[in-house]
Amino acid sequence: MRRRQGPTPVPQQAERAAAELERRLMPCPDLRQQSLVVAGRTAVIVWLEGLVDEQRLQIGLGAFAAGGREAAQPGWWERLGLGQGRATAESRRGPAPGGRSPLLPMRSVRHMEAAVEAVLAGNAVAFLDGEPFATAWDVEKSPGRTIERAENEPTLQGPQEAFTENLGGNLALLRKRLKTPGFKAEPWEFGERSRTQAALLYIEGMTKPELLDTVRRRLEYVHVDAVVDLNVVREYINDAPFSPFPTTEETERPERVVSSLLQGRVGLLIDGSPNCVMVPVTLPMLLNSPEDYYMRFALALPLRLMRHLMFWSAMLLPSLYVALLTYNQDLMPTPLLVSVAAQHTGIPFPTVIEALAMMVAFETLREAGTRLPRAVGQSVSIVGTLIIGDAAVRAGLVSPGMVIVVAATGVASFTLPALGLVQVTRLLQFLFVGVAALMGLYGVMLLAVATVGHLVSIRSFGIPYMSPLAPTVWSDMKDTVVRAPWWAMRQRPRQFEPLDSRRAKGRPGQRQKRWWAR
Amino acid sequence: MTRAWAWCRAWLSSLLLTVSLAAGCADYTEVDDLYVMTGLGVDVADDGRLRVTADIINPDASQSQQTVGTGGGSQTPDLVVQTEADSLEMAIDDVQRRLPHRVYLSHNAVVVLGEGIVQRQLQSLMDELERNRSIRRSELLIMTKDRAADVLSARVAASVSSALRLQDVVEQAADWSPVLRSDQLHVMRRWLSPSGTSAMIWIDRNGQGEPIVRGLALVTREGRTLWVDAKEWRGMLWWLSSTRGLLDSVACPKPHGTRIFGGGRAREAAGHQGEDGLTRLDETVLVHWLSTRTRVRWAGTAQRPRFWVEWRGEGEVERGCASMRLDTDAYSRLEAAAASLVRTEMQAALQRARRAGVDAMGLQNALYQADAKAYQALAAHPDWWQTAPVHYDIRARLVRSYMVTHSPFGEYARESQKKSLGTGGLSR
Repeated sequence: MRRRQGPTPVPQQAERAAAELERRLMPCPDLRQQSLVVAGRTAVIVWLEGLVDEQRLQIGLGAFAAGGREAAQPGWWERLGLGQGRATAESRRGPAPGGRSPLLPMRSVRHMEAAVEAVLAGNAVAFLDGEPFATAWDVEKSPGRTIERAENEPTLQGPQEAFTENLGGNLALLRKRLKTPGFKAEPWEFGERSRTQAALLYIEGMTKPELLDTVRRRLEYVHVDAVVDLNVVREYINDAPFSPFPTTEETERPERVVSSLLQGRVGLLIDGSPNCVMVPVTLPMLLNSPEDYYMRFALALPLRLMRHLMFWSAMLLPSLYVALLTYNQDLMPTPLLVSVAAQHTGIPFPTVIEALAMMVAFETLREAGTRLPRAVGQSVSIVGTLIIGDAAVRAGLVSPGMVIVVAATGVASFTLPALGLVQVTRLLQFLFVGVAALMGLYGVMLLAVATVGHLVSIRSFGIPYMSPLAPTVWSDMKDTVVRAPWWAMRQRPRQFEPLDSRRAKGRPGQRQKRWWAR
Repeated sequence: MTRAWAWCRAWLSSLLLTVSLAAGCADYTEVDDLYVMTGLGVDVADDGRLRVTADIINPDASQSQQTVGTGGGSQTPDLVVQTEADSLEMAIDDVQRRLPHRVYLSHNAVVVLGEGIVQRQLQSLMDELERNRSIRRSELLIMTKDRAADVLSARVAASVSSALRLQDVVEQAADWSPVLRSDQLHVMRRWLSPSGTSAMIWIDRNGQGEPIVRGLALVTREGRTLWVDAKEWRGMLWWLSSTRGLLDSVACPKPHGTRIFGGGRAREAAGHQGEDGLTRLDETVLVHWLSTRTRVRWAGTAQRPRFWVEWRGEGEVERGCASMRLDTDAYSRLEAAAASLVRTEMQAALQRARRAGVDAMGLQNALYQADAKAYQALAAHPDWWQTAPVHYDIRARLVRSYMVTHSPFGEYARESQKKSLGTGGLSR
């Protein structure tokens, strides 16, 4: 039986300690070392190039070099590293000696394993002859994007900022909008090798504690080698893992996360991912767009109705067309039947093969447009849609009606604000077409009933997926299909059972009324 | 054993699912494998069998119309196939044998019935139509005094099949009265009612061979038919259902105190003919009945059968008399004259129906719905409805709109009023 080894203490010879650290990381061409003589003793500073802010690194090196006479005194090294925890020199010891920056966080590291972790986390680690521990200071500056426009969830109005892959920056974007001490970002770490930092977001005193406990409990079950994206954690924690419907909501817009937190929901940010997961979520919420809240409330109703209609159209349109053309011709108006029959005359394939071929072609074009660079991708989409579709019709391979139906299905799916729902419709439309080819409208109806049954049976972190429609929560209907004006939405959604149900309480003793209600 | 049974169960379930899903495949029919039939014409052949004419959409013509520049526009939009058989089903089977694709009956829009079929085989034909599950009950039943085959094959428009053209004609006529949309469902329902009389639209060809609405055909279960021409169908339409947009010519009412010579109300009602026998348009008011509704009520006993007819109509003046000022008094007299005319027309229609032995007005229905026992008591005297007195409650209301009271003649009237005021003062 293999005996478990304990942590390796930091060697007291700086050169040896640095060599040991290099041995553990090698091959590692971006590892940098700098030797100094401080008060007659050799010090070796180690860091990873590219992960550190060179300006702050220089400040730290300056602090060692300026140690001077003080550095010769016993205990200086330990005082420099503070011996424990993360803190700033300013907060613990008052003004730093020897010109060292008061804002440079330093800490002591007593084992080689911790020293390696510190270097990998973007710290500079200094070893000093005769000292049994190292000092690490945070000079991390990970390479990454600056804040850009939200490209996956574009809106014409409202904020345009989007998250980046930097967790600290993303938290700052949220804190900028949520200046309350109740906003909590609970630190988590995932991935035995990736050690990915994460933050569980909620508002204390608003989010239901049971919901938080549920999320925490599920997060504890995330045992994975590396978390390279949010989706890894999402698949571990979501409900109904085999359902095609998304039971979590993702966004790259900070203001959407803030809105969600203010509803009593929970968010999860992960370092390295430009998205935030929000739970729980319901299907009607996935059909709401951020734009709905930035325009006049009256306009949101027709747009939301249209999205609901388009959601079902994106799933059912090709199957309804196939069913009508192959089984239920009697349900079409006579002129339409005559027109469709004339279009289909001479097409060498059965209707269902024609539909599947067109759908596969459309999906291929969509995938090509996504994978290719943006400029080329757009060209491919246009060329594919216009030229190939037209050529296929002229060649008599597909009927014009089928091209219209498949294109309309694709356009309908583009109206859905949640990418997860778009993928569901892409998947289920094939299933519906298959059933339509076997059983006609009867089969489509059966599968639709089964789908609705599935939708009303699944939950997202304890919340019914179709609420507030089923079960009906009348008070939450203000922001489901219709969007009531902001002044009418005084209560937070009841379905999430927030501890603080009122959105605004006003000043003490002041009645909440509108300016026109005199 | 358990594992094997689990595998067996899984396979069995898959098999059952596949079989149940694939069971529907038997009904799988490609749309281009169909010949869509849009019209049926039924006549009586010389040997007494049914002569059936099927109007079928020509898919090749439809396709060539959609393809630009193929020169396929010379093809007729429909195929007319004619056959003779003992029954409708057999005739359709015969038509099917002649065609390469499946004849699709569900889109059949019209059934044209020749005059001969009504007298001889209408009951069996209606029975077949009702029992055929492929045929919609919303198809229109059309009567004709011509041959049904001729009406159905009348070529009018190059792009529309004859049957669909007939359907359009009927739909257009149905704007006047729903009874003119004589679909199979309602025709059968009336046919099976106590009165046993159905109203169907009557369409013949005109001189140019185009189908036009000639009037109404009232058909009894026994095969009696009353043909009512469109020129005199107003009275019958008042009786049969609500109407919309019918026009009526009312004789210009005379001012109070003016004595009407020679015939009183009757002359006033029909007084748009001058002494020379020619129509005098300037002596009539054209009334446009915006909407009318009629209610027939039983108001008697089994010993003394009696009916009460309530007619309400709202109209507007489309054309007034040139010399008439449309003031309140004139409107009242005009409404009375219009009501009188409606009453006369309804009485005439009733008399005609009674003479023909056709209870088109549904008097027996009204009795049956009001008092089934009295209906049973009177069943021993099937002709009781022909002599039962009918009382009329007719109220006409003419809309006094700005456009009517301020017609171009109004300006003229004001000018003449000013003149009269200037000379003789206000006469009121």
